[in-house]
Formats: sequence, C-alpha cells, structure tokens
Amino acid sequence: MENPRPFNLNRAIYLWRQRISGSPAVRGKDMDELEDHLRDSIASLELRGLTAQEACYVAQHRLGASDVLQNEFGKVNRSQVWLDRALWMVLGSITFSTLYSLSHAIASLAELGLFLLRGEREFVPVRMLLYPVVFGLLLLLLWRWGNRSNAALARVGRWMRVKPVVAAISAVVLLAILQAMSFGVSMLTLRTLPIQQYVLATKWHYSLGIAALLITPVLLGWLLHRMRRQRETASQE
Amino acid sequence: MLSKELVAASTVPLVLSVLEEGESYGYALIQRVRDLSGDQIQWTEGMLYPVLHWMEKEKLIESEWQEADSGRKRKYYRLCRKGRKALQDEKQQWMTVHATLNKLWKTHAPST
Repeated sequence: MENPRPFNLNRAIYLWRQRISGSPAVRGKDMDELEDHLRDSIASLELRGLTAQEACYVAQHRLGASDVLQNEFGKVNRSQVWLDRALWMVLGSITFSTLYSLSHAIASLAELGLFLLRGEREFVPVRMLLYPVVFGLLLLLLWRWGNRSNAALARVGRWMRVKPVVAAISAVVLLAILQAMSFGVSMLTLRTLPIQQYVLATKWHYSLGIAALLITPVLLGWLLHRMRRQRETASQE
Repeated sequence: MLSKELVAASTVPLVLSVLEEGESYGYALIQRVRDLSGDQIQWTEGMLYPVLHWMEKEKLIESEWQEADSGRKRKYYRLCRKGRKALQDEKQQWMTVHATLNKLWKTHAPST
C-alpha cells in the first residue's frame, strides 16, 4: 500500500471553503466566521483524541451540508441572492443576442455565398437549415468551453465585479458591433439579391422566428431535466 | 429532546441572555447554551449564524472583529440598547407563559 499524502489542515479547510462559498448567499465575511468556528470545533475534537483529519471531517459534517447552510444564509441575504440572479439574467440575455446575431450573420452569408456560387441563378434559403445548426453548434462550443475553463470564467466574473463601468461599456461595444454586423449583412443581402429573391429571403427570415421559438423551450426543458437528474443522484449518495 | 419550534422560539432570548453576561462569539455561544441546558439544547452552526446575522440586522446586537489569543480574527457579538429592551420584553413573555403553565401543572400534578 502506498503512503497516503500527509493531511494538510489548511488545505482541507481551503477546499471546504471552496465548496461552501459556491452560493452567492454566503458572503466572504460569513465564510471567515464559519471557518473560525470550524477551527475551534476541530481544536476541541483534537483535544478529545481525534486526529486532525478525523476532527476536520467530523467538524465539517457537524457544520452542516453546504446546501443547508446556503439555504439558511439565503433566507437572510435575500437581496444578495436576487442581485446575483439578475446579473445572470442580464448576462444570459447578452449571450443569447450574441449567439443569435452571429448565427444569423453566418447563415445569411452562407446563403449569399451559395447564391453567388450558383451563378446568381437559383436562390436556396439554406438559412432555415443553417441558422439552427450554427446556433446549436455555437451553444455547444460555449457550453464545452464553460465547463472546462472554470478558472477563466472565475477570472471574468471577478473582473466584472472589480471594473463594472468597463464591463458595461464592453457590453455596449459588443452589442453595437453585433448590430452593425447584422445591418451589414442585411445591406449586403439587399444589394446582392434581385428583388424577387430578396422578398423570398425576407419571408424565410421571418419564419426563422419559429426556429427560435423552439430552441428556448427545448433548452429550458433539457436544463431542468439535467438538474433534476443531478439532484436525484446527489440525494442517493 | 426539545421540539424544533421550541428551539427556534427560544434562540433569540437565549442569545440575548448569554450576551447580557458579556460579549461572546458563535462557537462559545453554542457551547455555553449546551452546557447550561445539560446538552438538551444543541444548536447547529447552520441555524445559529443566520440568526445572529438577522439579529445584527435588526440592531439587537452588534459585532466586532477582534484578534483572539490564537492570533486569528474572531467575530464577537454584544448587546445593543435595542437588544437590552428586547431582552426585557422576552423575559416578560416567557415568565408569563411559565407562570401560567406552573399554575396549571401545580393544581393537576400530585404534590411532590
């Protein structure tokens, strides 16, 4: 049997803090107080004869499961929880606008490209197919990246909180660029397509609304389903 | 073991009463109440700290970070004026309930 790594109390407490402070309900100062309590608890358990590692485990267990703590603190720090939620809602809205504009631009440009390649004869509204595909792909890429780079996301989160004015201006600039891009693509479409095809393209563009209508509820349903599965497996442990 | 409701109802008066003896911090509060109650009242941290923060928001108590002997910073709580008044109020309410129950139980219980 190989030698287990020597127990490092400070590191164990650090990891515990990471777990508990995941929720916006528990603030930094609250964490300091809880950690102080935890250390007192560990000290008294060690006096009773437990090893540091055992004491740490017992004390953490007694302090309570993270979701119970978060719940209790959430009841007291309600406004904080809602501020955090509002932030995520706004970020979600910006993300959605970005994804929509990008997929719209890519689908439209592909459509135009196809039209030009076919010698400006036949117009095929490929965007109906391309738009949800591109949107779905971008969403998947964003999800994968978000899942893998926790550190990068945390850095962005911290930057936003430290420099809110810069973050707000960046959001405005981003949305302005997206608007300009959409406008540019629309103008290009208008210039390139003969009027009949343009009317056809515009009709298809509006029916894209149906595709958008389907994406959101599907996403919502999938997210809720995944969260329920997670809770079920967590409660089984 | 005490019922959940009774533990919840008695938390604020207990905290106020212990702090009347002098300033204290979370861990010590839990220990003191456990000792006083003969282990009958065992507060969990998850229950006490949110209550302490609520009481602080209500200005019943105030807190201060002080350096403990271990060198760590520790959050100490003490009674505010509003807290002292609330404590008097709680004392009256609990004494009323206690006196009423006593009268009922004395008349029904066999003389000890």
